[in-house]
Amino acid sequence: MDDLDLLREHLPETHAPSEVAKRRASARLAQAMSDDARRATARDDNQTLVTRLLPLIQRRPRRTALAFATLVAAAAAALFVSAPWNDSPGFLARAEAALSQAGILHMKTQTTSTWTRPDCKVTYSQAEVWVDETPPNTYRVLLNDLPPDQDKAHRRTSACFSGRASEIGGSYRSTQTLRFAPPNTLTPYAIAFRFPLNPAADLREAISAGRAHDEGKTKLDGRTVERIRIDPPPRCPPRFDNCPRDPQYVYVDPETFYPVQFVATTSQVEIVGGPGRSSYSHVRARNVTRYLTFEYLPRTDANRRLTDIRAQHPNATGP
Amino acid sequence: MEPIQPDAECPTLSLSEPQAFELIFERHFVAVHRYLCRRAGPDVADDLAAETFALAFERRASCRTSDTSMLPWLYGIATNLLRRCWRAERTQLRAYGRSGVERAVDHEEEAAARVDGATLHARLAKALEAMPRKQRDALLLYALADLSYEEIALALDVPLGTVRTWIHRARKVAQRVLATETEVPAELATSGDDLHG
Repeated sequence: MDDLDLLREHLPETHAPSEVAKRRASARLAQAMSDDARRATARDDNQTLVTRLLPLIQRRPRRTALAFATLVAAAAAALFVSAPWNDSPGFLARAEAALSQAGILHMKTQTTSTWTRPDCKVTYSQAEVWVDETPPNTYRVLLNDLPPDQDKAHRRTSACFSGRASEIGGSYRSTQTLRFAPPNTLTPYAIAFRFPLNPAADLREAISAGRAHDEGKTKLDGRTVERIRIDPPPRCPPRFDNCPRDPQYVYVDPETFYPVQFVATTSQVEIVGGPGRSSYSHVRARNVTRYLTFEYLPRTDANRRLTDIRAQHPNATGP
Repeated sequence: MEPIQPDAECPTLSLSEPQAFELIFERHFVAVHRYLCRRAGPDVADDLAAETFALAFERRASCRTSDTSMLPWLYGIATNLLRRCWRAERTQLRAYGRSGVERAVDHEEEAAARVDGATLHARLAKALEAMPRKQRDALLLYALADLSYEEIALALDVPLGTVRTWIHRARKVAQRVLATETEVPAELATSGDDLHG
């Protein structure tokens, strides 16, 4: 045994890092990325991170290649709900007042995604969302556009897959999302909404930077609606899988200000594979989401339970 | 699945697409953590490994890669961070020195061998502790991280010849310590440039 062998024996191999250590390190990296984006954004004419209002759809540790259009739509609605639009004071101020409600936000949406890479068009079944507007903002989502398991699916399969039914729940403050697995189990699931701590403040900054515009009335399927254009941020925050590169459009009811349709083109970095064999590529999609239902329910105990996946499955086993 | 992207592309890409840096994390976290853990123990390793990747992300524009891997550069960052934690590393070395290698001992001969081994490890621990920091870093990158001389030069940002010299001297010290019955040579006992770090 030479000196190097002895040295290796002297400082022996240790166990692999714990999952907790890895999660903490991942969170530290995310913080560094976030700080970096904040600095970069500040450099760009003090533009704001308006897109932080859109939830990050994030799958870890095995990343989902494709974000869920339904959740994007829900995010868009939530963004709009929180938006104190001010570049058209009359309309936008009234919109803010009408939409900043405390209660249980209930939506039914239907999304059509047109993928530019790969080339396919998919209309998903309806999805339903309940979000408690009071912190910690519990939410529950009935999805029908869950992609196939990424580790087993080709990217094209993922994009053009019309979806699986799934029920997911969590809260904005928690990194743990639960998924209901029939017949009666709740399992941790690596997908989560993420909102900034102070969306209103961030959005006010964004509006003052001039990226939200009321474009006036237009017709949508024969219905008169108001069109809002949201210009993309000068730089996307890190780890933001659905950061918009092009303007997004929200069509709202001019009387209630509730969203009618949301159109967004997303460009995502797709990360597939595991440690040592991961790769990335770009995936683009144009998502058109129609809001079939958009309403605020009173914050009663019964309605709050609608946002709570554990309450919906009180006897389920799991974490 | 598309071809695996070499690390070398990731820092460049991550300037415009920061998510791409996650690949680096996924690929190399375990290796960096293991290296730190062997040198400074699990508690310090958890913190330093996290800090290594955060720092690497912040400095990605200036990263140096060897062929296609960023690992040597990451080891370099980790090694630099270890310097802040010399006390922890010294404690770890002393702990190793006291315990030697833990094995079940059933027979007298093996017990005797274990005692010898423990003595050897204690001496090696002291030699490492007393070694000039740069020599120790180079030696441990060579022995524990399995880096080549070229990669160590890249990791520590020094000329290749310097690495050769450091490792040669460090190994000479280790061999001398192991070959003699005496404690760490007196000249080494005071040569550690960060002994009291």
